[in-house]
Amino acid sequence: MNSFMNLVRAFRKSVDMSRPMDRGQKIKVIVLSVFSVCFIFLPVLLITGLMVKLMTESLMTIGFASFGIQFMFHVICFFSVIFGINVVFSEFYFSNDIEFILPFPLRASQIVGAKFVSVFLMENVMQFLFVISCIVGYGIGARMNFLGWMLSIIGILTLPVLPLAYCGIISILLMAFTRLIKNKDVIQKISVGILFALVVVLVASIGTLQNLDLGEAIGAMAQNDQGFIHVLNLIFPNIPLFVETFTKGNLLALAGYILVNMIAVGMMLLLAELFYFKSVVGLDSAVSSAKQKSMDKILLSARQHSPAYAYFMKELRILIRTPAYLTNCVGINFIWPVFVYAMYKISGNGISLVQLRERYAQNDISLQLIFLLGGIGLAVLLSSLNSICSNAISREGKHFSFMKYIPVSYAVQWNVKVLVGVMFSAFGVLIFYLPACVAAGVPVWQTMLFVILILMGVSFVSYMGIYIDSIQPKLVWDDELGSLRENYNSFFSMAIAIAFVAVVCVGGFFFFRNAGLSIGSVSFVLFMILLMANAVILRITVKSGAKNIMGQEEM
Amino acid sequence: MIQIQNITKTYNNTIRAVDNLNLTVNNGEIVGFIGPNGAGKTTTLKMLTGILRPDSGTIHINDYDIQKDALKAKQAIGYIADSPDMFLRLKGMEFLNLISDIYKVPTDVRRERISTLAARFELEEVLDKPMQGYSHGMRQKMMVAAALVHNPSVWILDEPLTGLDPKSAFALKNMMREHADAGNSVLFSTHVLEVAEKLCDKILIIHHGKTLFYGTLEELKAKYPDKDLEIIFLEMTAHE
Repeated sequence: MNSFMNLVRAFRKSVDMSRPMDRGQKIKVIVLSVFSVCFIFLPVLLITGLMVKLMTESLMTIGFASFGIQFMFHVICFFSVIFGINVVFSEFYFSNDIEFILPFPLRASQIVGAKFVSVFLMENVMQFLFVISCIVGYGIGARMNFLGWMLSIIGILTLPVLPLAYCGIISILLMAFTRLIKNKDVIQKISVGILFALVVVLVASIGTLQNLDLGEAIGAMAQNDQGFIHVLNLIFPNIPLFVETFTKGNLLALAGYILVNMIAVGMMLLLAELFYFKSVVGLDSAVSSAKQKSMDKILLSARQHSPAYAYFMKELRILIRTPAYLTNCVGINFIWPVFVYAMYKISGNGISLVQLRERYAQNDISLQLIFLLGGIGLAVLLSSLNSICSNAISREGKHFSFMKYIPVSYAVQWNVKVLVGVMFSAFGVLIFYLPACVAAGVPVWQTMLFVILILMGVSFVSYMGIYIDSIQPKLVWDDELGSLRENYNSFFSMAIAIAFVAVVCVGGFFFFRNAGLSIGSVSFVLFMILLMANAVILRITVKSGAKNIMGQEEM
Repeated sequence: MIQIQNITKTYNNTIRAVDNLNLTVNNGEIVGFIGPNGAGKTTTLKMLTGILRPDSGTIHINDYDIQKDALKAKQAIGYIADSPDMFLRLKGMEFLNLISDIYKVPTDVRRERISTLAARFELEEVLDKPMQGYSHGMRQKMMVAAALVHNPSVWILDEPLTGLDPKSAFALKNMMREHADAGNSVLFSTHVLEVAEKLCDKILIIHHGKTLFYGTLEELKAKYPDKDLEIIFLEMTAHE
């Protein structure tokens, strides 16, 4: 038991972010944390809670009060599996600490169990908040009694156990059958590729929900046709048991809930005993040997370039060759149209291409604003979501000192890192945005104007992201995925981006729609806003960016 | 030439890693930096290369202040860090090209330097492969080659022999001697006292950030007659 707890503590330590020593930096981090809570956590939690409350109140009338919360828990567990599988996979098999742990006289179940607990604690925060908001929404809507509130605490703390145990089981089984591929990168790329495909298919299939009529669904339920929810209950049997526990105070259901979780974790540990060592031992990072080139041929690639170009290529190669960055930072720039498609379908606002062109040709200001503000909003969100800049310093990890001892100014290094971020974000947006403009018949001068504004939006978020990361970068991580997932700076950057989109793009849409301004005048106003935003962030960067980097000292 | 004057470094306002250290490494000299673990060697080397800022005192590299003329001072330094696990996603040749570009090494010069270094450290067969697949020793050899590719006049090496095979260690020691004999300066930290004894013109022994001894080996032996360096070192650091 001691070994197990020591392992959990050790794994947890590597996940924690260090805290700034400097008072000024501490204040900045606190301000950013409060900002993130206000612009990411609170709005999302309030909306979730409100949704569950409204669903509960309307479903109570037909005697299915708990259907709404049950459905929400299924969604939470489903996304826990989607987002957790990559983390569990990486933590169980690819983190750097494994090679230090394997020589110790530990059982496979001890290692896997400790890693499972550390992932559970790491991943639990978001689910924890979502489950609370659902329960509060339900509790208010259904006027839950005291016992219900008390019993719900158990689920709040343990609901993600089953989905994460599923991730563990899938990872162990997958690795048991990929014993022939011993290269970490190849396995990681294949698994992440499958995961990506799954997410794309899932999101695209959400588009089919356009046909879902809530009234019909409720009617079907009233006639005891609950096939859909039954299927979900079979996948996550912990949920109906937990809901039964706190909605009806059923202690037998509570025992069942605990038993289901124990069986799932037990199965994972049993599979670990059977397969873990066989899969994890022998994993290597060596790359398959390509044909050996002669020294003369190799030397041909030795050509002088500017330090900035060399640094740019270094950044690019690391982003593209590291599976965690390739998928989370680069790949994400190119899958957003799937989400836009799903939203378009769900909105049910079917409009043909011909109608779109006609409306645009008639100077429909709403449509023009959608193209302008939508483009900027998308660019701003994507630039923060891909974390290229908000992880740019953290990505250096244990060779962060390289930035300090090379004879290249911090300004050059900083700008090159931003350029890489701007390049991927802008490319990801424009590769789909420009064809959309052409398809909708947006005039060339407007398209050019919109593109300039989009680039200004990307530039603002990119400089802001790297500045935030320079305040307290996450330099200690076990694998590259850790530098992304354990780095709060990406959250902070996203919070500011969301706030910017909410105020400038969403607020701007409703304001300008009725302001009687032409699209040219609106563009000018936005140009001034973005110019100011860029000027402010550049001023802050010049003033204290290098100071922040110099201030990072490891012993 | 390296000149350190009265440098002090304290971490978190509590741990004094380097305490009023003075040192001059003249052109033509190899100075060995010796001390127990945690003595302040790596902290000092990091301050010399601009990675850390001293709380007080000054550091000059070829007469350039590392704080005020940072880029010029850094241009003159060849530095081997304490960990060779750097940019492992790059191929060996890409890494050497990156460093050559950063130090503005012209094409023909870099080709000649890379060719020589690759032959000397037996790197030819791995240059075209990602460094992730290198052994620890191979990575260390790559770090040595990268540090020397721009032919810097000042070498600052943090335990450079760690992980090297005997042939490469021998080659590096010879290169250090040749470099110093050509009128340049070498400062390196080591735990291997025999290396310091055979290779260094002067040695600096520090403990708890303070200088215990700085001078030639002869001067040290005169101070502690009939004792070998190992015994002298153990006695000096035990009494502190």
